[in-house]
Amino acid sequence: MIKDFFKTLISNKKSLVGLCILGAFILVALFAPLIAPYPPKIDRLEMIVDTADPVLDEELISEEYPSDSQDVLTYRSTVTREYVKTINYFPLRAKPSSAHPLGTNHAGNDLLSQVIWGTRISLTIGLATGLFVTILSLTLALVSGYLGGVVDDVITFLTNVMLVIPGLPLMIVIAAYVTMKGVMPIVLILGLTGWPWPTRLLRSQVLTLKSRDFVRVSRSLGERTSFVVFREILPNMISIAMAEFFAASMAAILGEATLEFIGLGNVTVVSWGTILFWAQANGALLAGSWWWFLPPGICIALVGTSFVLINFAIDEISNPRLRKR
Amino acid sequence: MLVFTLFISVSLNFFLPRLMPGDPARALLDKMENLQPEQLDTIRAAFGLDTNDSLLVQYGHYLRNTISGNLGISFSRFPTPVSEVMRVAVPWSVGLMGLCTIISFVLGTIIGIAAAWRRETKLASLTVGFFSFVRSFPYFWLGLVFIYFFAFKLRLFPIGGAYAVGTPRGTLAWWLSVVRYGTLPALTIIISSLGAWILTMRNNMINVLAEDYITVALAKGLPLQRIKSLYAAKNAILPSVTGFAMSLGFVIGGGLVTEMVFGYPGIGFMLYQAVNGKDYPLMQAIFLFIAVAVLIANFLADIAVMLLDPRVRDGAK
Amino acid sequence: MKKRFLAVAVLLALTASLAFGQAPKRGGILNMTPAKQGALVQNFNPFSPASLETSVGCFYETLIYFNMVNGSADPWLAESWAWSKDLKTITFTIRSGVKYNDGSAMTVDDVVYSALLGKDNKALDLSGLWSEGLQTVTATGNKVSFTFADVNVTTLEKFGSLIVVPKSIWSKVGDPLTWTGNLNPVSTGPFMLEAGSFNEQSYKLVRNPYYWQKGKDGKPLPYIDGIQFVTTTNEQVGFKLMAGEYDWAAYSLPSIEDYVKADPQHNKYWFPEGNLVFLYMNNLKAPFDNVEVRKAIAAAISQRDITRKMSPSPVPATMSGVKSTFSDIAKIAMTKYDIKRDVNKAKKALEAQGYKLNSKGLYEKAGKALSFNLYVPTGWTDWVGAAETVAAQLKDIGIEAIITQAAWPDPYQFALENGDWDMAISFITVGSTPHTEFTRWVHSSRFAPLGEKAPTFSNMRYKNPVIDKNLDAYRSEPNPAKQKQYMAAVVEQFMKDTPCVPLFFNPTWFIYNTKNFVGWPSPEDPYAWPIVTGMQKTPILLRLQKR
Repeated sequence: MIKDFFKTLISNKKSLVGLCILGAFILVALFAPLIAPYPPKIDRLEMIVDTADPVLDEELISEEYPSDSQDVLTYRSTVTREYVKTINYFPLRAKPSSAHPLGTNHAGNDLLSQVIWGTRISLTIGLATGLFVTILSLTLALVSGYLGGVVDDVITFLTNVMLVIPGLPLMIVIAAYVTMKGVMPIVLILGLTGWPWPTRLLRSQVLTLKSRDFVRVSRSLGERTSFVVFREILPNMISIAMAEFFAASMAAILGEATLEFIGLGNVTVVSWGTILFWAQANGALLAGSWWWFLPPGICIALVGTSFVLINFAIDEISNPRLRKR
Repeated sequence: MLVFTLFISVSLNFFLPRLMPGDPARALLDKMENLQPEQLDTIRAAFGLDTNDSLLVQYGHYLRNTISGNLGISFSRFPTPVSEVMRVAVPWSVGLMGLCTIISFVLGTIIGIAAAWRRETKLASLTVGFFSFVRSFPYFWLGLVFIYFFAFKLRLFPIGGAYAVGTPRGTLAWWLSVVRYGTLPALTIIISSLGAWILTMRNNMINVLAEDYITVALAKGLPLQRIKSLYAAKNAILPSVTGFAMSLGFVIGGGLVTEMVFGYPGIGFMLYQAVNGKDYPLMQAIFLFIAVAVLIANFLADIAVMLLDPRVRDGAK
Repeated sequence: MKKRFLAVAVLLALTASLAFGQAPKRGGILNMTPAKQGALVQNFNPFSPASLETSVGCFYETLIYFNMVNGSADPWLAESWAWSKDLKTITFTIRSGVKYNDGSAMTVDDVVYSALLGKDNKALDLSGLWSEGLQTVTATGNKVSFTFADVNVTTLEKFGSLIVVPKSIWSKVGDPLTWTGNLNPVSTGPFMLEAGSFNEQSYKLVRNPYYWQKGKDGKPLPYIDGIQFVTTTNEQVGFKLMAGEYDWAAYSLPSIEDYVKADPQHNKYWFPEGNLVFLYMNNLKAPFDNVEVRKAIAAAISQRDITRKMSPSPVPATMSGVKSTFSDIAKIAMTKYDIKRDVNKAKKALEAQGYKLNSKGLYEKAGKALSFNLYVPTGWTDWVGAAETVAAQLKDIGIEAIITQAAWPDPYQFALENGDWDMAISFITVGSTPHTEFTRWVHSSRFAPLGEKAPTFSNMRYKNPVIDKNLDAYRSEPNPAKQKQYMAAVVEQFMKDTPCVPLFFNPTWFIYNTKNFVGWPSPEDPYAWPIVTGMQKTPILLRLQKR
């Protein structure tokens, strides 16, 4: 079944395009140190040239002759080295050139390198949050939908209450109080505000499946709960869960960019969102520096589109009616 | 169930801000250089934060006040009452965002139906593809780029604001001005959100079109237009209606980025300022407003589904 | 005869035209940005902490005008003043003929009433006089006397924040702090609210026809007809400025050079020094309790390199922490104790204290590497950028500074006040004079050990009895020259101890346009400090005229 799944994914033209785009970005992220011309936060190149050969100077400091067969001599050895250190600072806010194809930002960092390195952070945050949200909501949906009763009531109630609180304001409230170190806080913030909607969706799917004949047969046969859940229901939810994964990942990438733009994320890491943040904070668009402002936005859009395209194929897998006639 | 959820969110509104660290009086006064400790105490007293009452007693006061409509006095805009502060901003949020959501939904639905009906055509694929691409851009990015090109460079639209300064309220000139100033933000919102509606509607529609009763209707020779609108579309809309209602409810909170980028004096930005300024009463009131809006929207959605879906209606009988 | 007559007539005409040429141009509406972003709420109650910035300066005025650029005190609602012989009482002569904008006269009673408001209700003590030991306020004729418990000549500055409100209106209000009815203020200031102009995105001020100050043509100031405020946001203001929609914008504009390039003749800016931003070190926590370590850290920092990367570049600070307009008090200290960036010197200094480089390239002593959290407020982008440069500079001398963002003011201020943190970027308000700045910063009366709450800004955990002595002596010394000597001694001690590293001065955001109006302050003519809150803006608004 998994093989068919992938075959369909690849044969569908739209999702093929999506997979290619996503694959390209993943490759860029993995090989960033090799592809990027510079590390993301470097702002200068240092060159050291020796102007003379090093001179070794040895000086005898003290002599001791403790016995006939032993001399103890103390030397001080000094190496004198003469060299010229040339520090070439990268230009600040430079236009694109052969040295810097996407120009430089306000601190002199090469923007092409930043976009390449930023792929790592943005993709990681997006996919990690997507994974987190999908696993969490899948678990809650299965527990709530299958077990029913009080457990279901409690989880549904929690979900409803969380749904009533709007996401962005809640994110702002949490982000304003959290001490930002690294990337984990952002993943948590995005994840904890993103789980209610998928949970609700997945739960209704679980309920639908639960009432289907093959499940009812299994249950009346007396199969263990874990068997029914993991062998009967879950496999039929793979496609919809995957669709939710990509939707959640896309929401996370956009959410991270928005959080950074407002200034609530961690502006010291280099991600597409923070590049845009610094671009806006430095009036890039206003100055017409399209090379600073456009590439990160386009990258975000491309990744998002790849998710949407892949989801096309997943929709068709879970719903045969959507396939080409 | 509705009332209970409302009650819980109202309570959350009260406890959440208080659980977080921070002193609202300090947040407000820290901006002033001549801060004296005595002034701080008096301000805290004026805010009502210096009570020796336990948290539960304060909670009781809060519930009583909320039910009677007394939303308190804003900290960050002290001593103006919260209702007064919100009054100026709410119409802009509801107006702009609400209108855009409706337009986006209607337009997206129509396009989605058309894309489903003619799914073989290149046009359908291109449309769906284009809007999917556009909706993947961060919203603030789109907004800023639009302002840069259409307002700043080409001078086709004003750079920001809700209406032309100095126009007397309520006159025809004023309304025209509102439309003119709202066009660019509305465009960006609609273009950004169209993709989602188109996709949903298209998929729903395709589902419905494959149903047996559609095949029967086609075989019977009923007019295509009738099939399309009366049978297919009506049933395809059902799942979207709930989603539409939910998004209406979130219209208010989600407007923050729009308001920042376009300078629109709405509730989203006000909430952002309230959070930064630890303005508890304003935060609580806005969250309450959003909760009520969402719940009402859900309620209306349930009614709409009932009206549209004969199965639910008959089932209820 | 006719010729002579003609000649005289021509001469008269010439003189007349010359005189009229000197006459100031009147009229015009100034376009200004409000201090607050987002929706505006009509709050002109000067006692309210959320009052709009036009309340004081445009509407309500103060007894004296204290110029924060050079520290001079000028007459305003008070014509003159004098200290008593024992320096405990100051007596002001109140200007006569001052009218409110409704035509009624301002009286000495109003002044006394306004001063007494803060006595029982500390929240109304905007000037802080009652917390400085003010005991009695008495009036005789057109003079008002203020008697203090102790000698402190620096209280003169505080009269620059004592606003005068009409007793006839405010005595009838129940609680001035919470009064929301002050929608159209009756005040002495140069402007009044244009009726019906206030809404959530803009409001307009018009001239006060009864204003007491007269222009060069003998008619009441201001020369301009009014001020139009229109709200905007950080994202919007760049576009609006380039489109020429504001004459005076108090916003940060990173691409300021592009703004000037767009119209070099008219688009101008001036970012005079505001508050001092410094690299905070907790002087009670090791290793920052060691002055040699602090000096080594100071030798790693290049203020110029930090400000160069910020856009727009703020004014870099010297190790004295004193504004450039007061630099003469730091002259001696700078020659003796200034520290410039010298990586090798810093490294040697650390090694002399027993630190050795470990495998990670950090200095280490007794198993503890020099690695600290460097705190920055979340979202303060210019500070975050500066912090990154500081961290890079510290890395050069083997110290690791991990940039950690925390929300301001809580927990940021709170943690600093408690002394919880080792290293942070912090700021001190420069106040009206260096004396105010250093008193707030390092006077031992505000010192608190770790774990106890120190007053705002007094959180370096540093004190020096010589500094205290000089700061205290200043308070009883009315002679400005002698005051300078005391401050010079303070700065000397301060630099000798190097409790922190001053980095740069927060710019005062002042972007202006000479296309429509002239008479702005500038680096060549710094006659006033262009901040929009308080009385500092009033002389500017009064000097502006149409081009």
